[in-house]
Amino acid sequence: MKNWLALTVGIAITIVSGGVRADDTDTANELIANSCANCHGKTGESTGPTFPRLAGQTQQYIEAQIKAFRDKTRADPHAQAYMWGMASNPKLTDDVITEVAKFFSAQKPVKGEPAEDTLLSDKGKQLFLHGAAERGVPECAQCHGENAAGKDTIPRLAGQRKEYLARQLEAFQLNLRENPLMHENATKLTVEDIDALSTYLASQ
Amino acid sequence: MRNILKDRGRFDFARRTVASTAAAFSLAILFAPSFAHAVPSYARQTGVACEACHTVFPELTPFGRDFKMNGYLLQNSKEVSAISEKGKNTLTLSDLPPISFMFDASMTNTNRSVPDPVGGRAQNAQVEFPQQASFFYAGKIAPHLGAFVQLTYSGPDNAFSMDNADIRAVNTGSIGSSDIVYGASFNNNMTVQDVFNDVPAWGFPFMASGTAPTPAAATQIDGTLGQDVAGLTAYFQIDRSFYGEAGVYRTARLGTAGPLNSANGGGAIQGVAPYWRFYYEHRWGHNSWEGGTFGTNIVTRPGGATPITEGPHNYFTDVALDTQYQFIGDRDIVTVSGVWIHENAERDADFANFVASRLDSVLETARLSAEYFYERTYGATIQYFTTWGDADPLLFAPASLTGSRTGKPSSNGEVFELHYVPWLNTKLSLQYVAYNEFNGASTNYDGFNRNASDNNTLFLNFWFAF
Repeated sequence: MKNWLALTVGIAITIVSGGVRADDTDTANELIANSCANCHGKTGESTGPTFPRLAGQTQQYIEAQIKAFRDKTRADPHAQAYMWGMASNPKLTDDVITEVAKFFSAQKPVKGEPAEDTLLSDKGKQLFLHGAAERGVPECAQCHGENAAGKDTIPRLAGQRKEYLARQLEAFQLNLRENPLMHENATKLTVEDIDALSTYLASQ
Repeated sequence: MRNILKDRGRFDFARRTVASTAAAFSLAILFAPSFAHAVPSYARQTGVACEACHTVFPELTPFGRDFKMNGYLLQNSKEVSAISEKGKNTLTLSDLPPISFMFDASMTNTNRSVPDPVGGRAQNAQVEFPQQASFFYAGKIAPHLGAFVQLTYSGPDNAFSMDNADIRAVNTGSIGSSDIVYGASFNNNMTVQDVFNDVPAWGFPFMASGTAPTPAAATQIDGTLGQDVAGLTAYFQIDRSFYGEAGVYRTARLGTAGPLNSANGGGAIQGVAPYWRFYYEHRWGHNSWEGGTFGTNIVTRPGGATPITEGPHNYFTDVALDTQYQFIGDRDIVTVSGVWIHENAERDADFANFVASRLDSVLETARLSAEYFYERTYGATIQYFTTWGDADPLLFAPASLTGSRTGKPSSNGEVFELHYVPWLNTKLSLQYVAYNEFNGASTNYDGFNRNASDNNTLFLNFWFAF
């Protein structure tokens, strides 16, 4: 009887609090401070070009990626080297992942720095907004949004680190990062296209 | 990493000669390997691959430097934990013991074989199997306490001994918008707690022959005191850029029954020796650059014929500058580093004991290295090294192989090394050390018709850790 009572009270508290347990939030905050922040920065600003900016990234995208790292279904080289281990932390339950994603998603996105090569950036902007129909390259903005802010599981690209963006496009090209749609799109991009796109997006 | 063998050799000599100086010559110090280590138990603890912390082991990436700076505490493996009734975390013990093993085997061939004690020639192409084998406790100990502790079996010594150790307590905080890391390191080798690969404890060459002759003169801070001291230092770092550290070292001799006395206390530090270290690091894109300084001031007592508690002392002041540039791309990795060490010595004790012929002297050492790795698999390193200073015909006296005809401490040359890293924890290296000058001369440097180039060394090394 006592157990049922405790369970009922527990469920009620969980429902009232919107399904978030204080423990999950605490654990998420601990992991953010002790693990995530080492590379992604305290507020997701990123500490170097190897590590993506998470500030302002969509919650669903972050959640999906952490789970993909944990389940080892995202297997590009840096994912394996860094994130498979990070995401293997037994404290990283689904609920904690949600809290981690919420935290970073709620942070103010990093404003990109103006591109030094404006011609290249303009070319990237053209490609991002309008694609290149003659080569079958679709406009990226169709999914990622005109401002490249992303939505739901479509990631925010604006203000992301240039090197990271370029590396991801190359990973999609080589199928190191599995995503049939992005693979198809990325294979139509030249080296210069990738340079232009990443230059433009990093400046947003 | 400068190894215990080198340091032990130096101090054995100091005891014999009552010189209490590391700049003296001995056969033992001439066979002076340099070792450095990377530790897979960290990979098991963090779940992060070696390449996150190392360009190629044992050189650290910015991520690796942060990991060390933060006390080796990052943990993603399952752990046993406990909290007090007040909610304080009282235990976080990894499910996996943070134990690693390292094995190193080598072959050494000198240009001309070294003389043996009965006037012949020693065997050349010397194989060491192992040159060294080490056990490590390397990982998190408690919520704010982590360690790198190494126990090494040395082939030439046929014995286990304590090797490098760095136990550190760390915390983090912030001042305004700045991130602060602060902590304390309890260690047994000046600069072993450092995160850069230009300082003596972690500089190139990371492995060197355990049997080939190497120059004898070395400054105190250049590995001379390794495993012969215990140090406690406090440090802070601001925004991964500004770093400051200060502490003290006191003699903590291995293999010697305590307390130290006139018979076994040669070279012991009087009181404590201060140590300091400051640097600035800038990281941008795939690049990082560091410039810094470190140093110490040491007063030693000669021991031996002179009562350890009485008589004159030797005084050493070491000041060093170091710098490191690193580019880490997905394919290419470039590291350029340099260190310069200046030592002022006042050898009151050595002079009084007729071990040195002058009271004041200067010894300088500089090393400049450049390294390239392709896809973390194929690499090449070149280093120019040089040591020079004031001549002293007593301190640097003629002796077959190990001595100096000219009384000068000067040695210089180049190290060329090719690396093959088939897996991240396995390395095969081919190293060639070419001497332009050795112990003060190019030809007949020892007064027994041995030339500097006779000591040129080909060194093949196989090294792995798990």
